[in-house]
Amino acid sequence: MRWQDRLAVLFFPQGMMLTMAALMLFFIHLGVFTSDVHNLCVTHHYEHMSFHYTVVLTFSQVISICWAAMGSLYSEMMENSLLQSFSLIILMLNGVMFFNRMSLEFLAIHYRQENH
Amino acid sequence: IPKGRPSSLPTTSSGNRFQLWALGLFCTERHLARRLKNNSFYPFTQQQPGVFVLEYYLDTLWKGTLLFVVCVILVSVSSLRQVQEQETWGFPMYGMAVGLWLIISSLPRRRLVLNHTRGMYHFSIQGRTVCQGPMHLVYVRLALSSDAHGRCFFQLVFGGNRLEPLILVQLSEHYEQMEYLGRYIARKLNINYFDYLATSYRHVVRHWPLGAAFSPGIVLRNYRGYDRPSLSHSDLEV
Repeated sequence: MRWQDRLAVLFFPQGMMLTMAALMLFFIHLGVFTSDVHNLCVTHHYEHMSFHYTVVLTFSQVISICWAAMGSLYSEMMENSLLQSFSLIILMLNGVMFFNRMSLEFLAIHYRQENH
Repeated sequence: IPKGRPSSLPTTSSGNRFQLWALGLFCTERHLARRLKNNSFYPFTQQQPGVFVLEYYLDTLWKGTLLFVVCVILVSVSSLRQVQEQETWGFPMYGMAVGLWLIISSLPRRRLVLNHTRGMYHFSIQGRTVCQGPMHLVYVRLALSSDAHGRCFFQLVFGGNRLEPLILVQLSEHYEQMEYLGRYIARKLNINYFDYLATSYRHVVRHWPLGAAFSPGIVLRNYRGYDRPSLSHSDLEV
């Protein structure tokens, strides 16, 4: 099988691609989140945290949730229970990640407040 | 699945592969009528009697290219990369990734063959079979969408089981002309035509599922009850 064939077949069921993109974004967010938590709680290098990327990170979390939701809609139409459960799990992981990020932001705001 | 016979036929498509990219801003049904006057099997081309071939690229190709180029320009403008101590170059990076994906996924050439001698349709992407099936699963249909003021707009869509829907005419208000064009295309290509309502006496059904002729279900009786003259007319044509 040529690589073009692989590409063509890989890209045809678009729901799966959306779910895979959401999964990839989830891993990126997980990496950023763990490094933030590490910097906040263990090494206390607050200047290394991702404060400069808050807007982009929030945007990308929302986008990944949207993609996961669309992928799960597509997989609901495909009537394959394995795909359905997989994309639902990806959607839930992305949602959990969003709330984790939000609580971390509030924690960081609490740390950065100037208490005189 | 090995490559089917239709894909191994010589590719003699005289039709333009980008003919479905019409933006459809104004006078779309007249545009389609002009196309039909030039090639009465539009959007297909007749390869042999009873064998119609359509090769096309998706219109997401130019949309993705446009998105990609715009985002590259946005990334390269340095004044937009940082706003109020927030790094914002991530937004156009998203646009670049999405545009790249759109380009890559719509670069392979699609090929749709309606083979009436075998009674099958065959859809392949870059020579690789995606699906093939009996002829009653492809159709031309009207799709309805209405705006907030209650005005109705109709789309003429070529669709089928596991096919990408091809929009022949974008939103248009003229129901009679659209219906005429849809019926004309369906008659020329010898496929089913469906109205925008699920139950309507304006459907033209030329191909039934295999079992339906022997054990007529509720649907069949329903259609028969609605219009006998139109159906018998189409039966005579087949």
